[in-house]
Amino acid sequence: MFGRIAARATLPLQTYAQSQAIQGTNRLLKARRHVPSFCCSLPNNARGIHCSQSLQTETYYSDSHEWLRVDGDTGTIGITDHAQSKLGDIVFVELPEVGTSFEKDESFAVIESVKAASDLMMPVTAEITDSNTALQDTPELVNNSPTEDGWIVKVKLSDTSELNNLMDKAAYDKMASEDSD
Amino acid sequence: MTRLVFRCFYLGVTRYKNILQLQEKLVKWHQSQPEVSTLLLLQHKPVYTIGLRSKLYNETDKDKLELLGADFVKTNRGGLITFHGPGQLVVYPIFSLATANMGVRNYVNSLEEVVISLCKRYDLNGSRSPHTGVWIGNNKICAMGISCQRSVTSHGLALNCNTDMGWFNKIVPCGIHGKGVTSITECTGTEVTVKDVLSQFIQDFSDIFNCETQTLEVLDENLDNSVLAKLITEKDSEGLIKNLVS
Repeated sequence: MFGRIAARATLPLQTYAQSQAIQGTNRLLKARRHVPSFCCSLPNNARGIHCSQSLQTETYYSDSHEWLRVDGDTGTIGITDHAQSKLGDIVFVELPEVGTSFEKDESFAVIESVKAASDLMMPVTAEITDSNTALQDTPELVNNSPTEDGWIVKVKLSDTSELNNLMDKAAYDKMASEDSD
Repeated sequence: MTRLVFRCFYLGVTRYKNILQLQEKLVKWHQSQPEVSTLLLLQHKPVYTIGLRSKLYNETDKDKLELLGADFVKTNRGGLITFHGPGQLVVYPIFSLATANMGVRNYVNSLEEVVISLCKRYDLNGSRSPHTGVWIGNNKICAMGISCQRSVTSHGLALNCNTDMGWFNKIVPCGIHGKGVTSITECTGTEVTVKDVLSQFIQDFSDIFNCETQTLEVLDENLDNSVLAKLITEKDSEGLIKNLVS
């Protein structure tokens, strides 16, 4: 929504699907700098992959201040607390139609605040499976509860490898702290 | 942070739709060149425009207003219905908020500050309210409505200098009941035109935004938006402008 920031921290990610070292399910993992000691043994070229103990929801962040909470190939998208504070009091959210598909970085919704209409951009290529119609009557949910009740759309991801291009919370928080306003 | 450099263009009295198309082209261009900043200053022929929340207005409203001799155009900016016409300074800053490291709220606040500063030159006490824009008491002297796409701004503000205020009687300006509208001329009792305030506005914009503004280039008001876009996006357009406008 606020456009690309020229320099941002990203952590290397590796998709897990091909790995045979850890049992079972097809899940996404995030690479971290420090591998916990309880982590199972890994091939030498894995470079610090953290193993999830169970199938869990992961939250990713775009450099235009959208968050994406992913569970397999479905997700929920909203804007961050940092973003809502930069926008001011939200008076209107233009939601996309359910069933529409958007490319990564394509504008999918518009938020109006202080007489300014700002577009939101898709963090990944996906189809809209639900939109938060509560925002039509109470758009301020996005200000008051940006990561919970103020969610904007639910999606089905087309290509989970696109998650590799997004940030984790630590990287996003660092970027947001360098943002002015 | 890089200090922004705004190229400034005065476009004369223009048809709204032509400039809307120009803005769409310029927004795309600025998205690909986020280091560039443009300031469009102009007037519009009579037009009523509505913003993103267009469902609040219907065909009957449109027909009624068009019968008055004005255009009626739906836009993607924030804000509700307003009027633009001769005698009103309209300013469209088109630049990347990401390059400026500015959020939308801060940007709008800064635009209000520019107009408040300009009003001071006429001994007018401009103020803010929960409704974005600049007020002289209970009367709005300057309306605002912005769009921000991939961080690039478009649309902007409309400051009444010596606008025919009668046009505003046909609508509830900006959807705000119980408040009025005014102009610099009405408040001061002296005729103040758009051309009087042009360089003052640019100066105050430069001060508040802490940016550079290049010499104002005047373009022929009859030029089509494609020609205008070409002129504005040429980095070295001085020769082009002289040829077309002479």
